[in-house]
Amino acid sequence: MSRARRWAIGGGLAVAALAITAMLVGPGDIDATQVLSAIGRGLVGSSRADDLIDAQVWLLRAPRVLVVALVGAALAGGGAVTQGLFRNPLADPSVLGISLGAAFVAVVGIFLGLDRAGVWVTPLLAALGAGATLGVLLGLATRSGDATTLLLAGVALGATFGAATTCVLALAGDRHELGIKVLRWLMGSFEGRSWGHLAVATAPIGAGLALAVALARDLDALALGDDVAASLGVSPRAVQRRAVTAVALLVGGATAVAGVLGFLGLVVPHVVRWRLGSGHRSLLPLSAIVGASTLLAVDTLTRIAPVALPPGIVTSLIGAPAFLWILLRQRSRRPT
Amino acid sequence: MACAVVLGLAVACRPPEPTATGSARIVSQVVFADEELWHLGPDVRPRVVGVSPMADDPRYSDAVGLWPAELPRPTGAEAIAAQNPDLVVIAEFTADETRALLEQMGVRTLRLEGWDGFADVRRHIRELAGAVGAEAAGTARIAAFDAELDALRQRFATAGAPGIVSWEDGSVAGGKTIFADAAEAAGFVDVAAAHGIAGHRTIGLESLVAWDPEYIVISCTDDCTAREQEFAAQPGIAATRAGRRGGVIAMPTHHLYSVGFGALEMVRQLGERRRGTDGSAP
Repeated sequence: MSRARRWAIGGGLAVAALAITAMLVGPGDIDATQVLSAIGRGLVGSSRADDLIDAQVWLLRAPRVLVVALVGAALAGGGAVTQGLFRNPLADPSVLGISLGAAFVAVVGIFLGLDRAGVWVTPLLAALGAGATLGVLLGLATRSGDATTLLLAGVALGATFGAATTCVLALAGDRHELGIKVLRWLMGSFEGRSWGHLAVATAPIGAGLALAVALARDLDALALGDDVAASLGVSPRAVQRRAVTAVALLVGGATAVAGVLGFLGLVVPHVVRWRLGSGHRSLLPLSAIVGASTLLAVDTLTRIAPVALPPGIVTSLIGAPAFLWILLRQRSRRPT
Repeated sequence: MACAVVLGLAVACRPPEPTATGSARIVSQVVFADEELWHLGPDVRPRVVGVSPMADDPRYSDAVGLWPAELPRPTGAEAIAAQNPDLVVIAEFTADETRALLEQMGVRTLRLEGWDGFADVRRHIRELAGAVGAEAAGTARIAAFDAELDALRQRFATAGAPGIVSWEDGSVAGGKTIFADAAEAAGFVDVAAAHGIAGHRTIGLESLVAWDPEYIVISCTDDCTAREQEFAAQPGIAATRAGRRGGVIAMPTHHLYSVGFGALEMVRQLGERRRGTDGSAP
């Protein structure tokens, strides 16, 4: 059995184990039998919205676990595509400005009170923001076709959206509850994520993951350089457009339901590449699996922690030192 | 000549001497002080040369429409200093730099810190009244507060206090908060306090559902009935006793977050709501 296959099986088992753990732990005295019964009732459609255990297990925990796994897979998969696109292991989906574009439009919606119309409003606005940012990036990719220009454009767009979001927050300076709401959303959260949120995220993230996996061979060719890729029948511009679309769908979908979560897209593909090499055919699916299991572990920890911690803060707190450790370890192994 | 000009400017910019009855020029930067300075009476009002911009905000203030529109609403050290105050009432969240700058200019500051319950409301009224030389008016305000509170307590006193939680985007109010005191006065038990939470703390929605309180209080700024219905229908909330039995209470922010007399209105609304839903009050 190949190493990549062993990792895929191990990662899949880890995701399943972590998902089961996440379903079993939480506030309230609910034992494993009650959890299983509630899941069973939910699966056959006989779950009751006015039953406390059904509500906790089937309406709060189950969709949350699935949303967390989906978002983890999306961010890590998006990171792997971004790093392949820019041929740079330090690239991150956020460098394309997509998550900040999504965040900006969502924050404007919260500022205008549009989120009061329903739980679907903020995800929809975030998806629109991601889509608009994607449109600008695709326009640039079509005109320039240069990965460096695309990267710099993403950085500029991200900086613009970041400043605009701060500007909205400053304008809302006298509305404290609004500031807190926006801040919580910007820190990333899975609190109260429902089946509706899962429905919003599944289509774009599913399409993004499918597109990313389909790009594996082309990204491998691109890693050899534009000329070699072209000689292999791969158009760098076409790959760029499809890769940007995949990243926008993945990051836009994830940001829409979870807010801004940092470092996962940078660290997870890096770890997978470090252990298994750069081949995108194994890198992309394994990044998604490891991303899902990592975020499930983080979210379960934040749920059982004595103080409420936003998962976005935890991913950054764990991700940044882990990334530094990997960098230093790689440097120390490199021949001088 | 130059020295004379500098000396003249220094004298002109020096804060005025406090009068025999307290500060001569008072600036408030706190909604609580905006409200109380007005209610301390006609001796104090003419000496107020600035109130906080939030004094006119109906979402947070019970002083809307009290102070004349032409009275300045300064923000920031420079705008405050321009009013040439000798006393500035500031909050615990006022920037330390602003306070240091004002004190360097010789301006006295009164920092209202700690809002752990009704005892702090009385303490801050006393401090404010003392700082502006209106001790007797302050004592009368405290007596009025206590009289109204006692009347409300008697009105809503019943056996078997139901559980209540104040919930705002995950933040709950536990013990040592104005809300805990208001809930107790209205005949409730603050469930967050009963779980050992002191002050304001963030908890998960799942914890709130697991607590299964009989009443959940949320804030509203406009259509409170619609807000109640929307919140009560949320996944998880609908399964709680509050969601099932009409125990979700949307309360205007200027009552729910009041740290002054507005908290008494919170007590009244909580108690009346309880009477309306379970018929426990006489």
